[in-house]
Amino acid sequence: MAELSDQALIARVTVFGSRRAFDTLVCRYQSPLRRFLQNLTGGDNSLSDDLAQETFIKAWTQLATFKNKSSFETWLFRIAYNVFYDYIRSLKESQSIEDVEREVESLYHQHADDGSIKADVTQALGRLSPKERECIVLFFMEERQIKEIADITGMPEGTVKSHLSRGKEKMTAFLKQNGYG
Amino acid sequence: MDDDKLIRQFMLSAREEISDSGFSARVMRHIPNERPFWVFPITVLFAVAALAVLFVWLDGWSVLCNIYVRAYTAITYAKHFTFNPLYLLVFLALGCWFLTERIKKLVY
Repeated sequence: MAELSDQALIARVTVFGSRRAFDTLVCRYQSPLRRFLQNLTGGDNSLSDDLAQETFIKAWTQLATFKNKSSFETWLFRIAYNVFYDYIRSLKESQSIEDVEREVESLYHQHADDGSIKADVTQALGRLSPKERECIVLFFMEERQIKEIADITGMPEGTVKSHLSRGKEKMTAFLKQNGYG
Repeated sequence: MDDDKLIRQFMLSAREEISDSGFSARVMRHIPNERPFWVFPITVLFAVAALAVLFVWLDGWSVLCNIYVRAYTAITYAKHFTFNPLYLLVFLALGCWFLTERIKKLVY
């Protein structure tokens, strides 16, 4: 079933409730999705796997609502993004934007630096605001287009561009300071 | 090197494919068992109803009888061959069962 297109697999899941077809989709997208969540959580593998699992369960129950306006992968990333923010909100009683951003920051900085290139990336991303980080990760690591990033994060394309621009400036400064430039 | 290229190179150097290591199996174990999909039974119902209408409309019963009688006649008139019509029915039933199993395996 591995060679079937996403559309064919989605049709099998929605029409026949095929678990096998859904399993193929999970195998196909587990790696980019878990990597994306690892980058949002500052490298917390266990938390990002739990969030990825929740994302796939939501995708299974909501697949009938998938309208093919974006790719399946973009749709999946959007669910993951919302699952991540639902988790952040669940940590705090207060739901203000500042509280949520502060919580994302503290979650991001909990993980230790092991001196690897991955740790350098985590450190570099740690200098960005949560929104800048999400845009930079999606644009450079997951190689998403601006429109797709806007779809995933629910931000207007102009806002995505601003976050990207500010994020790039901070990243460049970090890289030049640390001998990458 | 321009800034975009520098950042891209840096980010991609840390990008790695994450091996499944049982993750998909874990997800599939947590997928709800009850089928939230009502479309399949409804589709089957409509398909069966449409086929039944076509069968009656096109006089399917007499076509089927005709095919069966012709096959039976052809086989029994073959030289040195004794044939029990039950074999043909058993063969058809086995064929249907095999086909259904193949479809179920393909879909689920």
